[in-house]
Amino acid sequence: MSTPPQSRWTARLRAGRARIHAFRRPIYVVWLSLLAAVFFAFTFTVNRSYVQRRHQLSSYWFGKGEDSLKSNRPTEAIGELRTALVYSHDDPQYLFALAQALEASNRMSEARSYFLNLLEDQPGSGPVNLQLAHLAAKENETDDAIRYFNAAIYGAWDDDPVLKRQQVRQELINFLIAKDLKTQARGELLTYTAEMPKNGNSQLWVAQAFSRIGDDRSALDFYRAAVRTNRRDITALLGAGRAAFHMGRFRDALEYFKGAYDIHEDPATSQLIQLVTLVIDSNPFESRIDTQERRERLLLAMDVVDHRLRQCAESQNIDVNTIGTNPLQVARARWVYLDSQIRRARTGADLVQLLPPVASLVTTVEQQDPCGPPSAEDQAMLRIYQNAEDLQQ
Amino acid sequence: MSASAPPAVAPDSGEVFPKPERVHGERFFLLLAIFIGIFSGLAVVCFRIAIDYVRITLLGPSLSPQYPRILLAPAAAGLVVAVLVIFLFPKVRGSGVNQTKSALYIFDGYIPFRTALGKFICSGIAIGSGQSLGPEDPSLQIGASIASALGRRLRLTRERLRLIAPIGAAAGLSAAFNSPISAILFVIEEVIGRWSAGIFGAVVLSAISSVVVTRYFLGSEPLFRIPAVQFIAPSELLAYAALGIAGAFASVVFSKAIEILRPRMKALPRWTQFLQPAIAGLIIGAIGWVGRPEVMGAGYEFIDQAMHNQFTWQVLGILAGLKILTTVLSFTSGTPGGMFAPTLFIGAMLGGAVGGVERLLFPHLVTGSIGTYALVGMGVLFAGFLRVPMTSVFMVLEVSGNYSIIVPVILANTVAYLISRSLQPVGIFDLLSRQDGLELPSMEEQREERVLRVEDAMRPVTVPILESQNTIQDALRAAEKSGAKQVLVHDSPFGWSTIETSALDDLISKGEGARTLAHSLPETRMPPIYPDNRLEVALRHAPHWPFLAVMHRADPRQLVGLVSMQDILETLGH
Repeated sequence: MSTPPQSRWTARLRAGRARIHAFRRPIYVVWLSLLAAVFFAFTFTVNRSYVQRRHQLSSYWFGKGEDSLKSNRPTEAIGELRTALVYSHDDPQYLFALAQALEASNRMSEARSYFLNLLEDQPGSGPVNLQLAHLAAKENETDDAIRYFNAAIYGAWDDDPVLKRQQVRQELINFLIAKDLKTQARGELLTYTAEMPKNGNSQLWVAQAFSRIGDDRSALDFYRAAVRTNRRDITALLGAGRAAFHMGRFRDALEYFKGAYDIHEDPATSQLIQLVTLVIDSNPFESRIDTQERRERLLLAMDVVDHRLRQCAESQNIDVNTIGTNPLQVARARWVYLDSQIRRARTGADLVQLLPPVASLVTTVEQQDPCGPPSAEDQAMLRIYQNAEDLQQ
Repeated sequence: MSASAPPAVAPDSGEVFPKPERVHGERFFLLLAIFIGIFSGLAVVCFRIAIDYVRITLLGPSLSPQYPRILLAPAAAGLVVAVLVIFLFPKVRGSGVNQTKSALYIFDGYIPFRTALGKFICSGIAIGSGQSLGPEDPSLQIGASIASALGRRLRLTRERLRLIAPIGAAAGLSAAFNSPISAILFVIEEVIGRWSAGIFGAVVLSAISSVVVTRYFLGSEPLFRIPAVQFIAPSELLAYAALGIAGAFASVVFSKAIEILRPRMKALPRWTQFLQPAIAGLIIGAIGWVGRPEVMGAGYEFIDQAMHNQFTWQVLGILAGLKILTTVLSFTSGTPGGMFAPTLFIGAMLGGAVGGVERLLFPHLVTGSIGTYALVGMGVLFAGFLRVPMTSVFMVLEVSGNYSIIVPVILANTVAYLISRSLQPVGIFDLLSRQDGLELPSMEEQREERVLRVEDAMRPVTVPILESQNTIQDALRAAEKSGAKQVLVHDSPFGWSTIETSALDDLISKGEGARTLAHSLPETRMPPIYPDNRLEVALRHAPHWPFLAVMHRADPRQLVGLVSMQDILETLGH
């Protein structure tokens, strides 16, 4: 007996369903995978356009922020850079610019917070350490500032790291000098000289830095080097002249000042030449002068001191002709004694013996305060006799 | 995939599978959880992109929107959202957490797909236009809706279908938050309410896969950058405890304001429902216009700024207060959107403000940065307002990636939670569900419910105890001596059994008095019951025995008591 066609179809249908049932889970997985792929592709497309839009917006607002920062409008820059960061959350460049804007608008703690966050991400970053050093310097946190300056010197720099490190070291030296940490500044200066570029500008900068820490000998060496590089460098010539003058090398100083005056006839330089000339002409320490000349120079110094002493007594309302314990009265008594000694001295040796006490008196009186502005003669005497005092000490 | 009414199991559409069948299989369920995570992750990525596009379009690309946009955009968007909610998507009001709980406990896992669509559109417009709401709770509901739709399509069993909504919820929240651990804990703590091995694996897989998808598209950066956080001096715990107290009071104010205002807004005439979101939007826009645009939208950028010491403590305090006001307005007006982001915002601002004041008053006490206080503050509001203490702790740890602040976080959160509970016994999610007329189980109450155990019902052993090797005669003698109607027999090594004195009488009358009890005991032995077993365990077996022997865990031959059906019922009745 043959199976009716309807039953055959039913049987086939059942068999088909059974097969589907056996494979239902793999089919579900395939279906879900396809659905996920379609959804993923859609999201990918949407996200790509979204990312592009965000990138455009972040670049636009960053550009605006940078312009505002350059135009010294830090408050506007802050808003614009914050908007840029909305579209590019962790861009270090934007964060750095925002921190700079905050610093520029004197919002130090906020700026510091951003810089510290940046430092956490890039602990070796030269620019971030430098900014933190600036912040610490502004806040008078000397130890932190020095630490950050050093971290910046040894940190990573994207462009021209050698030059950047030299610039940071220059900043550190300036900072140390400003904080009167001369020993540390001298150490940094010596390190700097070892690696500095051998050009006039650098030599000049180093010479000036040595001058500021009172190392006139090193300053003079570097001024000379700068002059050798450029013989018409007025700043170097004047600097060399001043250094030589401070060291008591008055004739060398005169040469340098004259060299500067020849290049540019400046009244200030002319005054310096006059001063040095006066110093040279009034210097009783010169070995080549005779006894009479030395006596006259000493008496000239006594006259200048006498005048200054009276000026000081007048301004402080003190009678220096009476005996007392006031420094001016004591100085006046010494003056009277030394003046008579100079006049009484017969030989050159007697005058030479009087040079130290006269130097001491001149230095004491000329450094008295308040006595009004010193004259050129006062300055000259102080320079001559202070050098002698220093040499003695 | 949408349907108009919630059937127990969704009808078959017949499009893909001619005759769908129920799918069992643990492994397939776990695989499905991964797919749910992927779909939810993709949906949340699209949702976040949509919010951002709406914001750029309506408020402009600047972080500080300009007039007149700032004033008009939230109001106009509010009007559009109201029309959409009233006419097209009536179920998308509110945050979405309770809807997911309803799906689990009332509707057998059924959430219409239309809800996901409505939530996506309405919340996207509302948050993007500056309404003071967040995207996390809507993401949670979107995830749950997707999961429910997939479950129905694959004809899962009722049991599995019921569990699938929380799996999707975890995926959605995890993607929105970019913090899978917090999302998993939140769903277990607030939605499911219990740790069950059956669902835990699926929840974890879905949360992880959704986070992977989100991170692929949106990057792995957290929602806000976390500053260097520190906890140095133990004495600073006092400062954190004070933050917990302040957070508790802020939570109560926030919660009370919603409790009072929401039913009143709902009770207003129907035509006002069209205007309520618009008016809320107008007020929020006005606050933004007069100088505090930070309160608009989710506000993650400003949480970031607060954590980086960008505001003074006075500004932080003002922002916390204004955010409570604006969120209450947005939420009670019926605008769809979440409360997670506003809670984090308020917490961060409040934390920063309290930290700032403490630093001012007690500079020697406060060593942590304002960012640390803002971070702890977020956890405090989570514990105090959302009432999820465990999630609140892990959220802070996960977001910060720093376990050094675990002690202050636990302390401040616990203080906030306890004070908030005592001042406002009903948590915000329970409050909302009760206002909506739903009696969803309160996870908070469940957590603290007293569990009755066997030891609460058991009584001392008053019946004779015999060994199975004793004779029937001995057993009867012992029973008669004690006056008991039953004797307990220990049949080593098989366990405990009982035999009635009347049965012993019968056996003796048949002349079997010299035989051992082992021959006369019923075949089954008593189930092992221990004092620490839940009472339900004893209840299952009690009907089959006159009493159950409660054994010592260390020595099953030693009895610590007896428990009968009547004992159990009396204990339950008390």
